[in-house]
Amino acid sequence: MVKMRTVLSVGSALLVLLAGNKAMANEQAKLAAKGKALFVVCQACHTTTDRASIKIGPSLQGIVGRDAGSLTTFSYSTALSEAAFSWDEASLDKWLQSPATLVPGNIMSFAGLSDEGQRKAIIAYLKTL
Amino acid sequence: MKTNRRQLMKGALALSALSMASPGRAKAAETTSVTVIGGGLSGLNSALMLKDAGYDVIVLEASDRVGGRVYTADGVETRPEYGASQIGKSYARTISLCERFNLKLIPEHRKLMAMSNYVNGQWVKSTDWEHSEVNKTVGDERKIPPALLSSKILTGLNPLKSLTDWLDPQFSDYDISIYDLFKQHGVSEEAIRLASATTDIHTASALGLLQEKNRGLFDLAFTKDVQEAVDRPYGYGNGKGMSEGLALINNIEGGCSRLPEAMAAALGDSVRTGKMVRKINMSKTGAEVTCMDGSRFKSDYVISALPFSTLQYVSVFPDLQGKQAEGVFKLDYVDTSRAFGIIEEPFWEEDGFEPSFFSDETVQMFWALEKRPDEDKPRFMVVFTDAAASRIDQYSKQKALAVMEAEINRIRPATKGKLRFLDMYGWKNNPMIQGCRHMYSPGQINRFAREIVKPHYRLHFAGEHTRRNDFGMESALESGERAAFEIISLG
Ligand SMILES: Cc1cc2nc3c(=O)[nH]c(=O)nc-3n(C[C@H](O)[C@H](O)[C@H](O)COP(=O)(O)OP(=O)(O)OC[C@H]3O[C@@H](n4cnc5c(N)ncnc54)[C@H](O)[C@@H]3O)c2cc1C
Repeated sequence: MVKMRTVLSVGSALLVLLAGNKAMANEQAKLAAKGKALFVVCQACHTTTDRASIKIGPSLQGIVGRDAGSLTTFSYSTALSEAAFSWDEASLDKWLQSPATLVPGNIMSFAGLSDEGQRKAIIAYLKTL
Repeated sequence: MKTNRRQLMKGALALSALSMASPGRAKAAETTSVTVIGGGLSGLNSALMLKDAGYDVIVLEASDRVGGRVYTADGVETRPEYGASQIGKSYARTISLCERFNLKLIPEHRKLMAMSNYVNGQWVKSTDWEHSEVNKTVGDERKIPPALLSSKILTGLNPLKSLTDWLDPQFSDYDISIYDLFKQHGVSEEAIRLASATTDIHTASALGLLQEKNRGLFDLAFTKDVQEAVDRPYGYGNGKGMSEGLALINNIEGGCSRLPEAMAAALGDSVRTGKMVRKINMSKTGAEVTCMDGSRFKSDYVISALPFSTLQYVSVFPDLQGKQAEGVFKLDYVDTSRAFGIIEEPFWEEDGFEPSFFSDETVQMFWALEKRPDEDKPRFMVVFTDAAASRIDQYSKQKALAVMEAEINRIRPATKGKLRFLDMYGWKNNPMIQGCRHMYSPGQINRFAREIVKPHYRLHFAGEHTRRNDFGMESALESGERAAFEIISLG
């Protein structure tokens, strides 16, 4: 009996957890979909498909987790190639808010997004690339 | 009192019966999700981005052609550009659109021949200027050709680094007249006098022009040649992408107008020319835009891609408020006027001075342009900016051309009978735009530059004057992108 109950409660806890994960995954997917729509503000300069395909800026495929200024197919500003950090949620958030503040002297012409929700959505989308 | 539904219905029926009966009844309004007003680059870019994102859009353009300040004079012998033509290497959006529409970018072919000077009534070759007695400027100023004095001195005083710095209150001290800034920095009287021949030194904010200088310098960061010259290892010029092989300055093959035309073609019948907007009415649920011809357009949102010089003639309800209203009603526009022609014979061989010239008299600049490969004679342009442009544009075109030719012949007799004038275009005289570009007056950047871009109810703002980072055509596209983004982010 006791055993059974434990199993049940563990099971339901798991279920709740799974459901929670699923809800979170759903949230992420929704956010990423919003981010994809907002990506219009990036697309004049960046492709998302092929790492070798370059516009004015580098391809953003696999950007999350990549070291800043590290694609060999792209010639970065000195400022960015000398930067010693990698692109995670935190650094991308700062970058999207104000590229010139995070890496002074970089040559991405982007005024920045002051809205945190917009930045979060774009980052969620970048994660899917 | 509660009006009952039936009464309302009856009222509505009576109203519609009335309007049906009246011969002057309004046409039914067309409904889309976004109405874009103005078919220049900024409006077209907003519309294109929204259409790509699945929005239903309409573009209302007052004149009978799209492009606004991009205007290739296809009917004139040498096909001059009345407006924009130069595309910088770092114009990301312009370049991306050219790629999308298969427009070829070619290195600029508007190559200027060397420029002599006619100052204080005397001719001086560019190579003699620095040490000439006619040159009354002081110290390092002496090395600067007079036509470039205003620009070069400003560049030397530029404190801005990042592209948004001009909006940073840290630099608000520079929001003063060029005259005051030059005085503060000990620029000589004569340099100030010569600078005033090309620039409105009293009425233009130095900070506004510094924004442009700074953006220009940024362009250089994308260029290998300059990279070598200034010993800065910026890597851009060796790009392996689309911009490979682009010169520092490029033109669109076949004329700059091919870009707005291609954008409009992609928008199809969403673009309506001959539609001058006179009223924007907004409510809690939507907006209605009314044109001079009585046609009405309903939508959820409206983008004004009009210069403030003409937006100020449009009635907006609810009324514009505070600093934004101040911006719309007070932002100034300056003029550029240019005449175009053909040099029939090389007059400079006769008088020994360099072909192009600057003068501190009626004619501000005469540009002799090297022959393009497809031409058998060189072209020329007579260029007027700011006050000099406003002055010449006070005349009719015919009179202005006659005055110009007579003046050029008077100060440089060797030109007599050797110049064939074809055409001229002054932007102050374009009633739909009323100037070449916006120009902040001293103090106005601090007053309202940060506020003018904020949406007003359902109305969003685009146009080169609402730039944040860029300049020229690229700033028009930047602003259109921002306005479209604002609407897309509303969901
Ligand atoms: C002489 C000159 C040279 C230039 N050279 C360069 C260059 O070499 N390189 C560069 O990058 N940039 C250059 N520029 C700048 C560039 O042309 C502009 O920044 C850009 O084209 C502006 O686009 P816009 O959409 O903001 O405005 P506009 O092109 O002015 O568009 C506004 C549109 O609104 C329409 N309109 C006005 N009122 C109404 C109304 N009530 N209802 C409906 N429609 C209306 C107008 O007809 C116009 O088509 C130059 C400009 C000039 C004038």
